Amino acid sequence: MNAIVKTAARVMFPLIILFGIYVVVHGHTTPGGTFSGGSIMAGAFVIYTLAYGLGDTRKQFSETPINVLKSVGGFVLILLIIFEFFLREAFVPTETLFALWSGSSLMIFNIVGGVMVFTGLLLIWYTIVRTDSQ
Amino acid sequence: MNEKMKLSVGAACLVIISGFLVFSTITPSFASWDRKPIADFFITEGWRQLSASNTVCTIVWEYRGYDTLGEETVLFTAAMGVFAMGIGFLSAEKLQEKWATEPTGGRA
Repeated sequence: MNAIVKTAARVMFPLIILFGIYVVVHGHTTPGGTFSGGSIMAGAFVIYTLAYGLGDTRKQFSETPINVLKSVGGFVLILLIIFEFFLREAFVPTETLFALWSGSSLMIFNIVGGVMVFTGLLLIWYTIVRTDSQ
Repeated sequence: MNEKMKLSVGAACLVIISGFLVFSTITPSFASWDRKPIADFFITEGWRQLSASNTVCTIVWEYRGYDTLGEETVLFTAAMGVFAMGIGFLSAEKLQEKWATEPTGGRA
């Protein structure tokens, strides 16, 4: 790609990641949540791959920690949903709506689910591009 | 059963299922608001129970938690399936290269 696309992707990449993290973390107060936030974060990686190519992107962000993160996320999610009844006592709901620390256990659910969606979509994207290009 | 009968049976199933789906949204026994107290409960009591202003998130992660667990399982399985399929394609290409270069087929 040419210099304009590369520079724009390099500048926009952390901002898109930040916006995705915002959508995931604020999932219980504003519209959005796990799937939209995870898709936004995976979309940043898609833009980076389109600008810099797959080899450079996989050198920067390799696949093994993504696999580990996805598996750990699935395990933590199953544990959270099974033991959610006991967990609810730990996250005491504050009475103020629209605050960040307000949902009883929704925020940690959103974060774990967002990690799972992000890693899943990123893994699918890596695999599809790699099988096409090599 | 020849091809024409198969096609007609498929078309009949399609018409019946789509007709049921359409009528289930139109007829008042399925779609009336006052016969669904659970929806009213979600709207009026959901934010009070969990103090979250996004009711969709409340329903998805609390009242329908196991459904979302299944959804994440579907996504996990899809990603792992695509990943395994990609690895299979790569190893198949490597095997073809091996078979093309080595006269013994790469096994001996």
